[in-house]
Amino acid sequence: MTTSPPNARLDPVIHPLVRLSICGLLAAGADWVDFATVRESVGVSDSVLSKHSRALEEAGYLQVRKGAVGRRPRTWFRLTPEGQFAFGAHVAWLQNAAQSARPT
Amino acid sequence: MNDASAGLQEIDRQRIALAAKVRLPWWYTGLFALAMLGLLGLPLINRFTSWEVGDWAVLWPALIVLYLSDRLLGYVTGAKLARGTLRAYPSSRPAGLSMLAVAVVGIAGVYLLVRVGQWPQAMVLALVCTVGTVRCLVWQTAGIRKDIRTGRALAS
Repeated sequence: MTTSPPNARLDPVIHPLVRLSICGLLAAGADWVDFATVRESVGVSDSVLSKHSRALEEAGYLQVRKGAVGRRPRTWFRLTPEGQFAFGAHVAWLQNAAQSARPT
Repeated sequence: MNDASAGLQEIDRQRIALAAKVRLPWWYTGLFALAMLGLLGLPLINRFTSWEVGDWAVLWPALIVLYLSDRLLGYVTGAKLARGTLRAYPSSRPAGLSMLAVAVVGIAGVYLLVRVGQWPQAMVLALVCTVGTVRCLVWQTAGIRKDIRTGRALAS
């Protein structure tokens, strides 16, 4: 999900490819995405995803909700409004950077 | 390829991956069709029984099935869609509004046909409108997929 046109800004929290990938999935249009779906889509292990999701959560960009289906615990992720805005700004920065790197 | 292009490609890849998750399982489509058939056929059921039976045996179970299957879909696919589908996914609007129109016209039509005693025609209309709403559901899902793939889905 994208927000209104943001100011292009490199966000050091989002910039690492794994975190960019996590944010890309969470910002794509779903409200909540579960841990296993994010892990498979990003292509990382449980521990790597936990580490990066914690960094995003500490920055206030990620909201985590823990629940259970029967006896199986289930963790859900979504971007906070701040996370959506920061991601939008970072994508705008990436677009500018990609454009300026293109040969004229 | 530079870092920025690689990053943008990764974002596109994740959009495509999420869009691929938005599929309707057979059980969801089946439950939706059954619930819609129940709602559209309610005036017919009420003709042969009482309003109370129709309400408790069809109306409430159909509404509960629609609500629960919607919630269950997120658990099964691993991605819960944004609330307010018509607002969050602009491409799904024509299908969503068409579904509403088919359901409303269907229920009113079945009710009127039953009132004038043309219940065989009412049954046919209920079936036709059920098929119509299911087709709209499939169309709406395609619209949601398209918006996710192209980055047009709006913030919830």
